Amino acid sequence: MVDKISSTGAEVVIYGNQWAESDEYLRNFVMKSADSTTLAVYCHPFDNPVIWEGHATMIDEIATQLPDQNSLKGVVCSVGGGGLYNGIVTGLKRNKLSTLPVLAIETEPAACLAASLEAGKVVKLESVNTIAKSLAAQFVSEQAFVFANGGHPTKSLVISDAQAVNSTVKFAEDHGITVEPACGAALAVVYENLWDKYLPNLTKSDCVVIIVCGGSATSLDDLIMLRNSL
Amino acid sequence: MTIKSDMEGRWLRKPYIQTPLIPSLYLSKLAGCRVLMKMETCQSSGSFKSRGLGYLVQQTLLHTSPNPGQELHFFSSSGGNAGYATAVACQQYRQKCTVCVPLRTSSRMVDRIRMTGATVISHGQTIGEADKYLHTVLMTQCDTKVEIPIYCHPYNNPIVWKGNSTLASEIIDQTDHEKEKVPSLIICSVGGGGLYNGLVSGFLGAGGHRKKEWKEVPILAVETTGCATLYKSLKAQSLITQQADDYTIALSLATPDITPETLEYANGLYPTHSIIVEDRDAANACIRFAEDHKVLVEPACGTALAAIYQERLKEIVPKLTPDDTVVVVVCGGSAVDCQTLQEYRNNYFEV
Repeated sequence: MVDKISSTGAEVVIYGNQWAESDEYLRNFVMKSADSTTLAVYCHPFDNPVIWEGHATMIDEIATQLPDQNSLKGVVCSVGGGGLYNGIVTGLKRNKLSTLPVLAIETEPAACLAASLEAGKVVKLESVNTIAKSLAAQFVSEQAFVFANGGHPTKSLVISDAQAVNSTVKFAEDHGITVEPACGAALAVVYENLWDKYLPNLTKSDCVVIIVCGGSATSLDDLIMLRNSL
Repeated sequence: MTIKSDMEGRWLRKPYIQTPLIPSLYLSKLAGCRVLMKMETCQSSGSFKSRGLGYLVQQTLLHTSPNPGQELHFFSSSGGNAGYATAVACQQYRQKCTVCVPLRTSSRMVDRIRMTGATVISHGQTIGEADKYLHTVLMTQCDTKVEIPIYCHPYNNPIVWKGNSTLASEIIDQTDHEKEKVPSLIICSVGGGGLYNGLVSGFLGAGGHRKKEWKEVPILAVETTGCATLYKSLKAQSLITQQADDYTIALSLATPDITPETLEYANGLYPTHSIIVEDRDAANACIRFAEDHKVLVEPACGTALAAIYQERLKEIVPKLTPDDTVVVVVCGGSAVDCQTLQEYRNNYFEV
């Protein structure tokens, strides 16, 4: 992953045991070390409305690509810090789809949205040791909590790491694409037959969109290892 | 809406999608120019064959008038992606489909085709034998009072080439829309020549203010040494067929011959370069592509990618600069999984 990022020409600095530590180091040290001719621009990985506007383009595209919008009954996505989820809700609102439910999937060790909804406020998890590393945020963005807590029809679903892995392996089998377990989490709704409980009474002509969010961190060796672990 | 008009509305929907034409950081670095990938892996059947075979099914449907009580029954004798693409199109248009595959076809592929609702029959050691069985037994069994049998050759049909030509039209539209340079080269794999024929006719049919450039954009036709029928035909200046002991891991390219039109185009009617790569190079390209782009492709597809991963472009276009663009058709194909790639690593590259 480090090589992938370096290959773009970006400078990669490795620091800290988890994201919060690297983030603090970046803001308090690396950015402050930039010389006076440099305008340092901080890019939070998910907690910025401008990012959600960008992610919302996914819904703009879905709205034009679906032959029959009336058949659309729900959108399914993985939740880490909630950036993708916020983008989807933003996109649904601006495409006159404010009543379309979103299934927000987290893995059990990093289920900060579910914990927040349970507590009635944004809570911080002490540890987020999930195989779905790209979902390992200790807390969701405030806006994600607001949307999920009544701002937009949302169902919060928590699955196990094993279910995310199983879906990742099956998706590679079915579609020839290697995604990360973070992405497999959303696919688990189908592969683990969970949708019936959360989107009941679907018929053959109904349509559900699953966001195959992608991710670059799963190598061929990782995929083979995940497959063998099942 | 009546049932009839609802059905006809469905028949008008295309059997293929417009696929992404996206830059690859990795391939661009290797090639020393901007490499764009045309991602046919995104088609619903997993390969570009949805264009040609899908178009064949759709056009047959729109232009055939069965008698009352009669339905169309589509027949395909491919062992893989063409049969699957035909079956997927038939599922989309709710048509009957039978695919006859050689016995060596993997159960994985047979299951995949069956999932569409098509009937799959296994017969014969080769595609040729499966094809003969299809014609002499399966199609003749049709009761023509209730069924019109329609034969779908995997590549040797101008309607299939017309469907495939949409690949070229999209490349033109996508490039013109983004105001990008006309590419210096288009890279594609060659089996029977269906994809190549489609690309040529698509570029020759270019419109717009840059049509003169588009009508001359060179194609690099890549084959493996184990099925180099175009390469050998060009050298011999006549159609050469595959020999009995020729073998390649790029099974989806292993057709007995190329179409006569393929040789005519490549032999002077259209700017074409023909190269061959080893099976090992095609396998390596599949492994590297899986690492770089997280997409698993068959060796038939890896064959085209091998032209870049083996750094062969300089021998074709010596003066490629970082400002130039090359498009590689990532043709797709379903006959691969991570276990296959692991086997290739073990067979070819483990010390």
